[in-house]
Amino acid sequence: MSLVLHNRPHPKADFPIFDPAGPNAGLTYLDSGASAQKPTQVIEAVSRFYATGYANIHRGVYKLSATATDAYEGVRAQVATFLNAASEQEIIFVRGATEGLNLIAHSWGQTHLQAGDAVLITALEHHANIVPWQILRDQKGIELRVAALAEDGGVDRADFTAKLADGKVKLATFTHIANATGAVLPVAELTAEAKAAGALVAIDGCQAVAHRPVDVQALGCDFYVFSAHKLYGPTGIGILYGRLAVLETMQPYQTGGDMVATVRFDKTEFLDPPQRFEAGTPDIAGVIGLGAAIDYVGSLGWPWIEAHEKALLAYGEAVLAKVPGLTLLPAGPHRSGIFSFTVDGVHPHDLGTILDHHNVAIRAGSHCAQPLLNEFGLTATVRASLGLYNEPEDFDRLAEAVRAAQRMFTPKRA
Amino acid sequence: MSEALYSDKILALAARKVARLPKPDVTAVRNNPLCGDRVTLDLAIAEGIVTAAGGEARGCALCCAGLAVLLDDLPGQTLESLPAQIETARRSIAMGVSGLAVVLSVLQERPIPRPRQKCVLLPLEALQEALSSLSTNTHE
Ligand SMILES: Cc1ncc(COP(=O)(O)O)c(C=O)c1O
Repeated sequence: MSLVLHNRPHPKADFPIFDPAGPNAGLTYLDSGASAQKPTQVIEAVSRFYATGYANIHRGVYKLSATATDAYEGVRAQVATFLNAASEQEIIFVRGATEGLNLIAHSWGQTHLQAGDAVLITALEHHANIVPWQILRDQKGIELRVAALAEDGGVDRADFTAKLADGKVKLATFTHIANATGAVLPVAELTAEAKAAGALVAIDGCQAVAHRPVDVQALGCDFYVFSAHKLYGPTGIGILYGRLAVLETMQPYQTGGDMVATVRFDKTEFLDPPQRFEAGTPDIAGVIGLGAAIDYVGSLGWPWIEAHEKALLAYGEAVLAKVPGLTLLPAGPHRSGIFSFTVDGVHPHDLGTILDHHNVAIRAGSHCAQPLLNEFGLTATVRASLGLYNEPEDFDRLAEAVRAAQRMFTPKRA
Repeated sequence: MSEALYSDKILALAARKVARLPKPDVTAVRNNPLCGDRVTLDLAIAEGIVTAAGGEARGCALCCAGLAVLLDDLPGQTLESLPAQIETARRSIAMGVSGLAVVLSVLQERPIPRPRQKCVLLPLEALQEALSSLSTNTHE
């Protein structure tokens, strides 16, 4: 089974980490949910920028700085198109999703929330979308509400609705796809509901942007965050989309150079968004790499990526279902890109190490989502997450390695 | 392809039944936030010497084996000698070499891969915590 991509070889060939003659020959990489591998196009764009186009941005009067600034700002426009934002002013470069969420909590939350207000999250969040709100709760006396996990592994819609009912929720913030299970949340519907209840909406798009097109205007959300490294781009760079009217009401996150209009010893005036939120020299090369990653994904096109991953997911589900003793965590009505599971008699960490011995890279642990795993009565699972370079055979190797682990443990620990 | 880490010896240690002490002089609990594993360690102490050790582990094979070895090794050791032994064991594990360390010497026959070192160290961290709570209590 393999979908034909016209006029080019399978995209796996674009990723040097999989080079059959390289140091990782035979690698089965099923940890793209933690971080995706990088295609040559991204690696070379970053390297070319350092070799031939590098200078600081927004500062120099010389040509090199001007072209570096153009390239950097060009990626902002590219990201705006990628998310279908109304304007590139709505795109803020941050360090990653974690910083994006912390920025919202700090710059929006500190000024707009007061004691008695509530923030609504769901039981399916990554720690990055829990802890900033907890801190705000402790600092400002707001309430942190959690929409429950539904039996099927999705979000409990009735509970979500009930927790909006008293009108105290000023921000609803939830993940697009749960990183610990692969559950796809009905984000458009949740957004519409929260907005109708008078709340702003932030969406954590980390696990979504590599797998499906995102249209922030169609979603109607006020914020959307993601990290470039999960989109085949570099580490150290991420995006915070914010609706301009909201961004304009927000205070800076960090302060210093690049974000100020005038500075005197008695007073400073800040620039408009997005510069207001980008203090100091940013990860310029990271931004260039993100641009190349978006180009790369665009060159394959969503129809191919989505069809390929849908087929992979169906194949993976069928293969894993045949492994006795393997329990898949439910992912609600729709699953995307991720299988989280436990295997009877084998601790997830032991399983992870044995899979590694078989050259199968997965993640084992709580996936930065301890509260969600606790809801399932677990503290750890094994998680296999896919990227556009995966092939059906990767799941065969995974299942084979799981069986090997079972053989090793079952007789001895029984 | 090496599955040597999970030698029969280690698997047998991991499967060994261990038990809490009925009346410990000190108890310490340590969690591994990465996987939720938890080690509880009980010590009975007389005149600066560990007279009995017990505990329980909710954890992976490496963590359970680590606790089993520790429970074997602890009785008869002086409290005074333990911090240095912990430090030696910690270093040998980090360096991935088999070493002279008394504690965990069995586990050190195989290098423990970095992502799993925390699993083996968890029982040692519990021991360290038990020692430090002992010294706090003595000073009170
Ligand atoms: C759903 C989700 N949110 C937030 C994050 C945090 O992303 P980062 O570590 O890149 O800031 C991740 C990554 O693990 C994630 O999967």
